[in-house]
Amino acid sequence: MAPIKVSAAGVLASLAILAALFVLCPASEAWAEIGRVKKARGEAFIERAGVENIPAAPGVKLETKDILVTGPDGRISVTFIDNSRFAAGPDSRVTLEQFEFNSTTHEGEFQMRVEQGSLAIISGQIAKHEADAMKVHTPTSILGVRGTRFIVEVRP
Amino acid sequence: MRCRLLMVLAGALTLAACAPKERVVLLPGGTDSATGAVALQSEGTAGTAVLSTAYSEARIDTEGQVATGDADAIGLIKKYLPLLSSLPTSPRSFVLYFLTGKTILSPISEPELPKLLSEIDERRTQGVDVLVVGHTDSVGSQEANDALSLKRANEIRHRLIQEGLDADLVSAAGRGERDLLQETGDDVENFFNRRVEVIVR
Repeated sequence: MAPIKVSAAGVLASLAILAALFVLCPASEAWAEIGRVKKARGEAFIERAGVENIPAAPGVKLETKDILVTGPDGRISVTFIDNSRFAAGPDSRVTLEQFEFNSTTHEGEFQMRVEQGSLAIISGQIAKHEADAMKVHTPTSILGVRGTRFIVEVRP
Repeated sequence: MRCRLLMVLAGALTLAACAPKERVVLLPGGTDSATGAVALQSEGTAGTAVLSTAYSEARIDTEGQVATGDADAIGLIKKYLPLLSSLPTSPRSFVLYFLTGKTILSPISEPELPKLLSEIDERRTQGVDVLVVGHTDSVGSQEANDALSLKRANEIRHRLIQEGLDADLVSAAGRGERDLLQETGDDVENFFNRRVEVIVR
């Protein structure tokens, strides 16, 4: 097998192209981010497997399987990458069980579970694209979201 | 048991005063959306209950039995005002236009950039992030337009990063010809459809 000739200029050129691509290429596909905390107050944090509890603060990025937890004085408000958003009130426990979203076609699936607490929810592009693609699970029920604004409350 | 008895006595129209285990209330839609609906399936109740009018609600007891009716709108708003007030600010869109077939901003769109940057600055304390969405007119194939719209979105994304925005806060997407602003037939050139929407949320 013939040896491959590598020149320093060639390597530098490749690195430069890679660097340019890194800046110019769409970052959205590589991100695990499904949404961000926009507001938080009081005792409010995120439980995530494998890491210590993350205090909820504006800008904190959320991932699938995250559990949002608030204490008696806590609140967490989130906007997701399909523009859906919600506010969780005190004594809430909400799991973001599944979140998939194709930003080109708007196909997706968003399932959350409210174990307890209160939530005001405004649905986004996932629900708009397909009825019931966004679902909220409570201890006794499954809510199929067909747009747009509603409140869910589960007493512990 | 007492709760169930009260519900029966109170009748279907006036929901019982005892607190339900779970409650779902549909709210009126916003300025840009209809009221919509929520479909409810509960383990204790056969079939699906659908809430489709503003302030309609479902109350669910510990056995999953569902009772639907109309909530008292004023009492409801009072009770949930703190919760509703803490919703994140709704996303705001800015639309930018391009020259034909290129990824160069039309001169009429240059003044939009400072307004956009100002909106981003205002939301910095609320964990601002930005989604740049590219759109095309219907000239060309679906695939070509998907690629072109994504390319436009990335150009604007790159421009925003040059203006000082953290790359981590901006993402880009291409919607191709799926969201025509002005409905035209297939393969019709249209200036207003060739645009980039910058969503600040």
